[in-house]
Amino acid sequence: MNQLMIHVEKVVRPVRASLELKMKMREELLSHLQGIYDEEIEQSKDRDAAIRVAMERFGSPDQVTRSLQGTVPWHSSALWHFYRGFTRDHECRATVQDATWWMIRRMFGLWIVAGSLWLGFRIWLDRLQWSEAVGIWSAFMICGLLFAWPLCEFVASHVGILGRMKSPRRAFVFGLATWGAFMTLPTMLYAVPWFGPAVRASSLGNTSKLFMVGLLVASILAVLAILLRSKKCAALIDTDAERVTRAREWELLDLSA
Amino acid sequence: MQEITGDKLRGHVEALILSSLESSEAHGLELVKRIEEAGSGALKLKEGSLYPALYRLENAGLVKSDWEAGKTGRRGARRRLYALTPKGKRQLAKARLEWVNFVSVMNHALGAPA
Repeated sequence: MNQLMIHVEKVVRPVRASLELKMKMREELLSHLQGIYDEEIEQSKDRDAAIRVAMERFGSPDQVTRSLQGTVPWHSSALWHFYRGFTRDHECRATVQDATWWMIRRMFGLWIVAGSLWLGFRIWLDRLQWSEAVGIWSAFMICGLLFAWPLCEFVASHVGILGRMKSPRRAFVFGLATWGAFMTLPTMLYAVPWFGPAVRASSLGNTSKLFMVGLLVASILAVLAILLRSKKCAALIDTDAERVTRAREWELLDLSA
Repeated sequence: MQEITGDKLRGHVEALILSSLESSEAHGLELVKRIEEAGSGALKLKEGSLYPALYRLENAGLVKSDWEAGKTGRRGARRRLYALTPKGKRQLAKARLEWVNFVSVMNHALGAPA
C-alpha cells in the first residue's frame, strides 16, 4: 500500500496548491489506485503485479503533475507560495521550536534591513538629525514588531507551538484574530470618530482610560474564548488537526524509495 | 479494433467525461470503465489524466462533486462522486454538435464516405 501512496505523492507533492486541495487530490488519487489494485489482485492474486499494473494504468507521475498544476486556481497557488515562503526550512530544523525561532529571527532581520534602508533615505532626503532619526527608527521597529506578531503566530500555531497544529488557513485566521483583538480594538477606541473624541475629552485620567480599554479587550477575549470552547468549534479544530496530521504523514513519505 | 490512446484522445476527454456522466453520477474509476465500455474497449485512457480533466470541468462549473458518504478507505482515501450540472448538460449538447460538424468536415476533406 505504501508503494501506491508513494506513487500518489510523486504526483501531488510538486503541485503548487493549498494543503486542502492537495489533500483532496491525494485521497482521490489513492482511492483510484486502490480500486485498480483491488481489481487486479482479484484476477492475478499477485500483489507485486497488481501494484505494477495499477501504476502503469495510472500513467507517468510527471505528466499527471503537470496536468494537475494547470487546474489549480490562482488563489490556491498563491497560498502555496505564501506558505512555502515562511516554512521552507522546517524539515531541516531539529524541532518545531527551532523552526519557529528561526522564523521570528528571520522576520526581525528583514525588518531591521527594511528599517535601516528607509531610515537612510529619510536622513538623506529630509536632512534629519541623528537623534530624530533614531527616534523614528525606534518607533518603526516597535510598529514592525507589532505587525510581525500575526506572522509569528501564524508559524507558531501552524507548527504546533501554540496548542495543536493548525492548517495554514486556520493558523492565518488565528494569528490575525488574536492580533486584531489585542491591537485593533484599543486603536479603534481612540480612532472611531463617534467614540474616540468622547474618551479623549473625558475627565478620566490616563490610568482609568487604559483600564477601560483593558476591560473591553478582556471581555471580547472572554467571548472569543467561550466561542472557541463550544462543541462545534472543538469539532472543527479536531477535524483540522486530523487533516494536518494526515498531510504530515504524506509529506514525510520518502519518494526516493 | 485499433486502440485509441494518448494524443488522439487529447481534447476529447472532457466531452467523454460529460457524456459518461449523463446517465448518473460516478467516481473516477467508474468513469474510466464507462468510457472504455462506450468505446467498445478501443478507448484507452491513462487513468491519471482523468482527474485533471475532472478538476477543469469542476472549475468551469460543468460538473459538481462530493465525497462518497461512509466510504473511508485505508489512510483516509475516499472516493469522490461527480455529477453533471445543468451547465454541463448544455455543454455536452454543444460538444455533440461540434463533433458532428467536425466529423462531417473531416470526412469531406479526406474524401471518406459519410
